[in-house]
Amino acid sequence: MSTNIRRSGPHIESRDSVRRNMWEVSAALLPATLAAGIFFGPWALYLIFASAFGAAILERPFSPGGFSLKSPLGDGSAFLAGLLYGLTLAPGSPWWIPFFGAVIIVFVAKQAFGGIGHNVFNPALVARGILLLAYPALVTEWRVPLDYDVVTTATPLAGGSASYLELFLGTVPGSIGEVSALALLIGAAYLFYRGFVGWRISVGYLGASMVTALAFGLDPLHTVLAGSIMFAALFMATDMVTSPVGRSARLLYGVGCGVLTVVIRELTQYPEGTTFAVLIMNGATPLIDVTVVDTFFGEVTRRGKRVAAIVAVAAVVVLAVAIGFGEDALRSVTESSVADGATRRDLALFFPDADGARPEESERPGVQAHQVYRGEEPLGYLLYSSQYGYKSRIHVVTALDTNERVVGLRIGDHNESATLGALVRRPSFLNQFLRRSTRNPDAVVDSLEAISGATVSSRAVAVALQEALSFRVAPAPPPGQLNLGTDGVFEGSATGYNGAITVEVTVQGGEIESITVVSHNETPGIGEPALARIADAVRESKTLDVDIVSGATATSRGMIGAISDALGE
Amino acid sequence: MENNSIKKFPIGGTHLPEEKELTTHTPIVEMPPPVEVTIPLKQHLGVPVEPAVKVGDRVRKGQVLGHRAQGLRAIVHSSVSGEVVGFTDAILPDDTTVPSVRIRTDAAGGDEVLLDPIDLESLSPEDFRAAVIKRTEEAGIVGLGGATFPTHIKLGTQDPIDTVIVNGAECEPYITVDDRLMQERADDVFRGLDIVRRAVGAKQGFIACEVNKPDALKRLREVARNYPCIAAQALDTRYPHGAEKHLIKAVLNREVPLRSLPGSVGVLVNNVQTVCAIADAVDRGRVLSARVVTVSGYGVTAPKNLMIPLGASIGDAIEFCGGETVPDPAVVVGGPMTGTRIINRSIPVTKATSGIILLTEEEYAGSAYMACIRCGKCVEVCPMYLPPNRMTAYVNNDMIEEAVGAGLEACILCGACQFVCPSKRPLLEWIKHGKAVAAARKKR
Repeated sequence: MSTNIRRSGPHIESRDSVRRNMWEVSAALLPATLAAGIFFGPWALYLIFASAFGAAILERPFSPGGFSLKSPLGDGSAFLAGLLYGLTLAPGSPWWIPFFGAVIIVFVAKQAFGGIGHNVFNPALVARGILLLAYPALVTEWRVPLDYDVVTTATPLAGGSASYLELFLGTVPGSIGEVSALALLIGAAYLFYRGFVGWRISVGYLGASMVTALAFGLDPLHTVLAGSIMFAALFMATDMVTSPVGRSARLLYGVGCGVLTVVIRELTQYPEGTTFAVLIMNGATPLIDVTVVDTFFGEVTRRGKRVAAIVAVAAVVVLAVAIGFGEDALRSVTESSVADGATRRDLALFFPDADGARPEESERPGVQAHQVYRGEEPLGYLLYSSQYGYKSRIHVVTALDTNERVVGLRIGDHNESATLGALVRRPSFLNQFLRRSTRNPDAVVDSLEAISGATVSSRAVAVALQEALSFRVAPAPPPGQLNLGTDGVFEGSATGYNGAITVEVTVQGGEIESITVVSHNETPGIGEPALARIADAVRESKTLDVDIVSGATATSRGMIGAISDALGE
Repeated sequence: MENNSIKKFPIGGTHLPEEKELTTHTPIVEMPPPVEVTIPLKQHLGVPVEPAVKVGDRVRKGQVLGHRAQGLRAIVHSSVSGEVVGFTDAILPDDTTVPSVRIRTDAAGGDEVLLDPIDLESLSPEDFRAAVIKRTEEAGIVGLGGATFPTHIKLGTQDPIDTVIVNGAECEPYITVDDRLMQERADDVFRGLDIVRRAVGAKQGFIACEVNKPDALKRLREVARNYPCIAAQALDTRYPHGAEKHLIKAVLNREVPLRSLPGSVGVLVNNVQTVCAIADAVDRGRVLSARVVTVSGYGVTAPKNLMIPLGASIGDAIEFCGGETVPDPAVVVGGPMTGTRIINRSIPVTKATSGIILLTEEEYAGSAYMACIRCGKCVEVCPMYLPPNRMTAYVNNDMIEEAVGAGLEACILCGACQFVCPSKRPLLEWIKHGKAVAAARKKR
């Protein structure tokens, strides 16, 4: 027996170990990895495992004992960091991206700080952050889950974004490991059940992002389901080494991450805020650890004071949010009255001399026209139109003089990010539309000088104006209008991605009553939603000229072909 | 009083491997006195008593060996009948030495000195309290959970007490002393608690017992029907339920303020064996000269619950249990969480000894420690809501003031943080070191 034995207890120890912690968290990422394999195929699995094994093997020489065949992957911490990094990659990343990340993780993020337990910043996020800055071309691909409609096509999609269910299951484009909230939640539930992570960081993160989203007037549920907030809240922010340790400290850290994420999404050029939000909070962790301290057992009076202070702060925050949100709600109420008639505000702005305005017939659905009068003398027109932009509908108010030329333009209600909103409101942008006339509406879009960095929003404004200027002209019937003269049930089929798709189309009174898929062999989760989407689009537009669902091109074409076959087009 | 609820303290704590099966069904057996005993003259919190015997004296079991001292003390009695053969400085588990009396046991055994039983029912309330306090002092009774605070001082509290709790949580693994006493002597536990309750004028009493001792709990609930003011209180199995303040938090949801005693919230807590000893002293006139000790662990041949005469050596007890199963097991005096590992087996069993645990290499916490990965488990389990990782980081960098600010002095040394640490860091050792340095600097 060694002479230098430990005298004081505890003389027993738990079976827990560093290695076990790392491997359990890795195991919890298994559902997300599986989902990535199902949704994005073998290349995604290559990206994930190349990152994980690459990092683990690179770090091996730094572990105590050097490389050994007995535990070739070391304590698992580098493997875990690599795994997390791999899951954040875009599905189309080139082959070398995993190794780029592995090198950053091991040399820059971990060993430069002194190895396991000493790194200040989450290694996976350091690698991802550097990738974001060094190869911004890949960033645009990451926008996909957030901007589903924009990437597929620029047309205004009804319900432009993916549904909650699609986001929850992960059947949307995005980073390989981040798309499926379900898979992530399964993994996190496992970790929580086994006691390897607490709830405070994740709940703080998700709760704060929802509240902040509300304050920005966004849909809170969509905010947390789309993009990487779920992944960051459950697996990135909860990284043990780089997050605080105390109870209140963890909650505050989570709240900080949540607020920062949404703020970065909304107020900066970055469409996704999780990486920098968590890195910033990593940097704040040592400070949070020493300043946000829990009261001790038995500090009854101090706890009372602290509770009072927290309640006071919370009350102020809630009040501030309520005021901010309340004003926002108030504003949308006044703006929504636009639909009923020209607002006093627009009259005062563009036609200070006017007495009133009368609704004018408009040939365009979605464009409201008003003729403006003083007494019996016409002064011009006020036109209200809108178009789907970067992530919301942008309302445009146009003023025409009696010659039907544009004399004034105002951007109304929108839910674009604050940056984009400010950009399209700039006079330097709007002035290019002055003097445009109803005689040549197409010139608006044809000669558009879009703002770089806000192309989609610029274009949306131009299209809205073009629509407004066309208010006297009925829209041309879309090409490919289906012949729905005969009632009845028609069957047709065509080849999809994976064999024949057979549909049954019911026509009744010039309308398509239903389109039923009789049989198909398409991929669940990818092909199936596309079938329904195409069916809905055809039924509503009564044409076959509908948008192809991205990621399911063959399926979409097959479905259109089958409907065409049924209706004998 | 009927009570089927199961309670626990709200935040912190952890579930330990229990290992009580080794001895929970093993009845307490009396260990015969060894050839010679070494009885320390300080087996209590306070100062040693002056010896009242000299070399060559013949003493009887239960006879006073020393009672006078300048300060806090409890009377020490002889645990055997025999001859005083000398005085020595015995070493205690914490490496301190204490003046002790060596007594060679008579082969014939011999009779026991008993005090006169007290007829409590004939006394007025004031006399009742005075009589109980006097008797616990005469009998040398101290807190037998391990703290060894003299019970007669505790009973003399000036705080108004409304509740007396008997601490039968016994949350340390392996140890089954209270478990067996509650099974075998439940009547005495209730009797002792009732005496204390009436002495301090409390209106209610609880016997708290973790649910991992179902036999004891069942027995307590049976006996509780005979006592209208006393209930058995089941506790969830969670370490450290036996810590006084956490026991009170669990049973009554009262939080004893930092640096205060349970009296400040109207509560008095006693150990199971302590109230048994009080019942013995009052009803049968027996003094405290032996105690129940669990000898357990996979390193001992026949784990047992032993009634050991005080002053017998740890080695005697291990021998009585058939010796060890493996060469050189780790010998821990007390529980495996808060106890002390010893090398020298001649250390005597005292009123503070609750267990002698022989741990084999597989059971023993021997892993090398690694860097802290800040998993926060130590903070999660800390029943005092402290940050052990931060406290020890300060201590290791000699920032004692900062460590104290982070809660060093509030730590109750339960060791839960070190048990759960995945990096196997010796947190408790560092905390103890920090506390010692902080205390030394305060004195200066």
